[in-house]
Order: sequence, then C-alpha cells, then structure tokens
Amino acid sequence: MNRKKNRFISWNRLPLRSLTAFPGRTWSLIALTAILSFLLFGGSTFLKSLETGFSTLEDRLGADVIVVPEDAEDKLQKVVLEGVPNYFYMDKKVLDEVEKFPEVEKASAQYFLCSAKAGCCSMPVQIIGYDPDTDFSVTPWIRESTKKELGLFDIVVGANINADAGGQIKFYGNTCQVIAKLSATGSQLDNAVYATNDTILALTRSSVEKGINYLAQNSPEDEISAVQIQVRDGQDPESVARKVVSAIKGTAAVQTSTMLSGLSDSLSGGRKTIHLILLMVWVLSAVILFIAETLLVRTRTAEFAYIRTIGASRRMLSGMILAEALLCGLAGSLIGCLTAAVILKSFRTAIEAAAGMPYLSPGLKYTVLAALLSAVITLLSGGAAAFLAAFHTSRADTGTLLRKEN
Amino acid sequence: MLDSVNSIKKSQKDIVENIVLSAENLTRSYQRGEHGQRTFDAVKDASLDLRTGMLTEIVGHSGSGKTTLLNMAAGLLTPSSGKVLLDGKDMYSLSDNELSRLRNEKIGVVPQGQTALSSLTVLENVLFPSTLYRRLVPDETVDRAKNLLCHVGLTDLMDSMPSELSGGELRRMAIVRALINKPKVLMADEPTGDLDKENTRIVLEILRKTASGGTAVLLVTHEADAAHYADEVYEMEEGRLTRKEE
Repeated sequence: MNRKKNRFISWNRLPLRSLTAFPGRTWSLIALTAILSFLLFGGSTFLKSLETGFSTLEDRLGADVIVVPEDAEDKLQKVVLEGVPNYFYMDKKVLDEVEKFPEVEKASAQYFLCSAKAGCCSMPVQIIGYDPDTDFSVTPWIRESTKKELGLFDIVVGANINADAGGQIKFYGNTCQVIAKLSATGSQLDNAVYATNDTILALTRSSVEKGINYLAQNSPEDEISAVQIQVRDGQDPESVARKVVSAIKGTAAVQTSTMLSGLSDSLSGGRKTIHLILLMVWVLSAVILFIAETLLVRTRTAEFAYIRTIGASRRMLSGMILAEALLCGLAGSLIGCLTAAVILKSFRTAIEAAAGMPYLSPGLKYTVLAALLSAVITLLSGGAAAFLAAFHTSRADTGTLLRKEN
Repeated sequence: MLDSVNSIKKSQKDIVENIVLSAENLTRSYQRGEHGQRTFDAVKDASLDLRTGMLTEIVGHSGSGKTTLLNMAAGLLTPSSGKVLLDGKDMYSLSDNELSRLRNEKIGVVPQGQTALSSLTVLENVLFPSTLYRRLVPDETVDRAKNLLCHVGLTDLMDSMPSELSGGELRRMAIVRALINKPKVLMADEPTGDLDKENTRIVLEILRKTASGGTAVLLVTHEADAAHYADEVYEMEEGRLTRKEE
C-alpha cells in the first residue's frame, strides 16, 4: 500500500466512508433534510415573491385614483389584477373636468385597446395608450428600459410579451417597432403593450377600416378609457374620488389602494398561514430528524462502542457522528434548495395563476440569502438532532455499551 | 500441539515478568432494573496483575463477571471502587481524552462478537487504530499490518470487506487489529466463542505467541483447552476472582 492509499483511511475520512458504504441509510437522511430545506427555502421564496410582486404592482400603478366609465370599475380590476384584456371608453372631456379640481396634482388620460390577434401572442393582448406629455404612471417605468421617445407605431412591451427590443409586432396590419421591454412586475401588467396615444389612435383607425369597429362607437379622437390622478400632498384620495364621481356624471373613481387592499388582505392572511405552515413543518422535520438520528445511533451502538474501545475519545466520537449528520445536511440542503429553485422557476406561471396574485422573483441577493439561511437552519436542526443522539451514546461507559450489544 | 505450547512457555520464562497492569480491589455494582433501588455486585473486590510476556486466563460461567472485570481492566468501564494502574498510572484518574489515548497506545482489546467496521476493508480495519491520533499511517505500520495478517493467514483477504469473512477470520482480524499499535497489554474477551476446533486452536496459538513475544495477555474464555496455553489461570465465580493453582 502506498502513501496515497494510507491517506484514504484517515480518521477524518471515516464519516464519508461510513456514509458511502451505506447508501440506503445515507439517502434517507439526505431526503429528510432535503424536504426540510425545500420547504423552508421554497416557502420563504414563494412568500417573498408575492410580496415583491405586490409592492412592484403598487409602485407601477402610480396613480392615487383612476377614473373610468361608471360601468367599467370591474373591468379595470380585471385588466390590472387578472390580466383579462378589455376596453371601455368615455368622453375625453372628463380629463378636462378632472384637471379643474384643486386637489388634483396631476392627471393624465389612458386609452385601452385589445388586439384581435397578434403574431407575437397566442391570445389578445391589452394595449395601453398614454399621453407622454402628461403621463406620470407609465413613463417612469419606460424610462428604466429606454431613454428614447416613442414615436408613431413605437411600442414598449411587458415582460411576458414574446418580443424583445428591436423586434416587430403587427397590430391590425400595422407593423409596430418594439423599442423596449419593461422589467417584470409579476402582475398582469406584464402581459400589456404600451404606446403613445398617437399610435393608439392610428391602430384604432386601422381596426375600423378593417371592419373591426367595435372598439369605439364614437370618434376615437374624442374618447379616452381612464384618467390617472395623482392628488396633492395632504389630500385624501378617497374624498377626491368621491368628489369626482359626484361632479362628473357617468364616471366611477377607483382608489388604487382600495383596489389593492383585497390583494393586500389575501397576502397578509397568506403570509400568516405560510409562516405557520413553515413553523409546523420545521418542528415536524426536526422531530423526525431527531427520531431518525436516535434510531440510527442506536443501531450503530456496537460500531461506536468498538471505536471507543480502540481509543477514540468522547469528543472524537461525537465529532464523527456530527460530521456525518452535517455532510447529510449539506447534501440535503443543496438538493432541497436547488429543487425548490428549479420548481419555482419552471412553474412560475402556474404558481402565479394558482396564487391569483402578483408574483415576482425577489432577485439573486435575496434568493442566495434565503438559500443560505435555509441551509443553516437545516444544518442546525440536523446537527442538533445528531448531537443529542450522540450525546447519550458517547457519555455511556463503553463497557456498558458493549455489554448491551452482546 | 501441547509440546510446542510448553516449549513456547519455557522460552517465555526468559522474559522478565514485570507487572504492566495492576487491578486493585475492583468492584462494580449495578442497579437492578432501570430505576431500581437494589444493587448487585457483578465484580467483588477483584485484584489481578498482568505481567510482560505472560498469558493470564480467566475462566468462569456465563454471567460470573469476567467481561465486567476485563472491561474495567481495559479502561472501558468505570469501577464502583478500586483502581487500575497501567505503568503505575491510575487509569480512572485520567480525563477521557487522556484515557482514550492511553488505551489507543497501550491496550489492545478484542471485544466479544464481531466488531469490524463494515465500511472499511480488512487491511483498513487493522490499520484503523493507528490512524486515530495521526494524519498519516507510517509505511512501517502498514508493513506490520501486512505481516501480522500474513501471520494469521489473512494475506489474501486484506482487500476484502468484513462481510466476506468467516467468523474465525473476523476473530483473527480483530486480534491483528488489537496488536497493530504494539500494545503493552492485549485483552481478549471470548475470542474463541462460536469458533470450530481448528479456528480455536489458531486463535489460542496467536495469543500464546503474542504473550511470548513480550505482551501481557489477558484471556477471558469458556474454552477448557485454553488453560494449556496460559501461564496463570484465574476463576471467576459470582463476581469473585480466585487464582487456580497448577
């Protein structure tokens, strides 16, 4: 035997040898720790994704109050929260009247249009037209993706639209140039296409020419879909909304915070439930890990007694048991976190649909931190379970252990 | 066979019979039941000296306290009273770290039953005690392990896993393993239990030769023939140790 081989049987390598020699036993422990870390990492990342999605949507909406036709309140919520493309129109004069309110800091009109069938999309997409001169809700987000001014037939697409900057999409026979792609919000706004009002008017005219004239019964130049309102500092959006509705006939005013409050309540309830489930899972996994480690140590009493017999100290024996548990925990954490990450990424759309809420991955920094924290909790749980199990064995007189085994 | 054993015994008398390990008035009490109030003494006031080059045998019925005494003498079981001196040092006054290291360096134990580490090969099992307190096993230790394995007829099996060995082969491997660190004392607890006559003879001859080579050997056994290999024989009866005169 050469020196290289001699290294192979060093005391430090015994835990690894023991683990590889009994794959069934080892994989059982790894599976247990993987489940624990999968649930911890997957659960916390899922929750954080909901929070990130919600907060991004809140920011992206921008306006305090949105004025729409009186029968379109639900339609607006469906566009924003459920991603169901829709359209509704009211007289353009509503914007002028809204601007007259002293409580209103900024007001800007938007025009909603649905594409019939676009080459880029498997379903109709929502096209949102905005006025670049007065807009305060869409432009800041577009500015993050491009500094370019949008011209006629220039569009900016949401993160879920199957087209990139430089690409082209056809709407009603018009080729639109994709100027930029917005970063994801995790909400249904990612399925929308943004253009200036000029482009929207041109597209509407084309649709009328093509006989798809359901979009606007009146002249498109005289109509808008919604007015976005930002109230002055110190003003209550709720009272502004009330005033607008009572002053302008045929309108409804949706307070953004109210529209999102349902989501917020669901998120808050969901957060509590998920935290509770995570806690229960952690306790349950820790108990199962402890039982598994205890049973494992008991079945190996003879082995441990023999190791003590040849001169291993209590500390060395405990260290060996702990090292085995930590190696299993490390492998389990890695497998659990990776599996959770792959599932969360691969099934993002399905998870988003099932959650019924904006869902946006929290970013690499949080993901890495959450994975590390999950791994640490898993390792500590497995390590503590192994330590408790090892403590009893290593404290006992070796002679007593040998006697029991015989 | 016995003639050769006697010739070994004679040559062994040339070796100075120094006391290596001295067990003084050892008693070990156990509680009856998990939380029992009553106790019983498994070993009562037993004293024993193990000398360089001598094979000391303890015979006795099952449950008479032989194994308990061996475990106390080997530093594996704290006595209720009494002390064990190894090279003049009270073993049970040492810390666990010190006692463990002392056991590793100076005492070789062959416990009852099969105690091989199933994840290691035969050669690795034999070398294992020499790896506990050093990073690398010296080449001379590896050579020694191979020589010892050859001596007990296990050369061809050194790369095998313990599961491939018979009971007799495992027992011989355990003896080689106990000898790898050149211990001053070798203690074997029923090393011939469950073995056939041929394997029993092989094992007893190995122990005899080990003693003759200068190691103090303590043999605990039921085996009637073992007395022929021993220099002194003790009998254990209900926890009491008495020396049997030749």
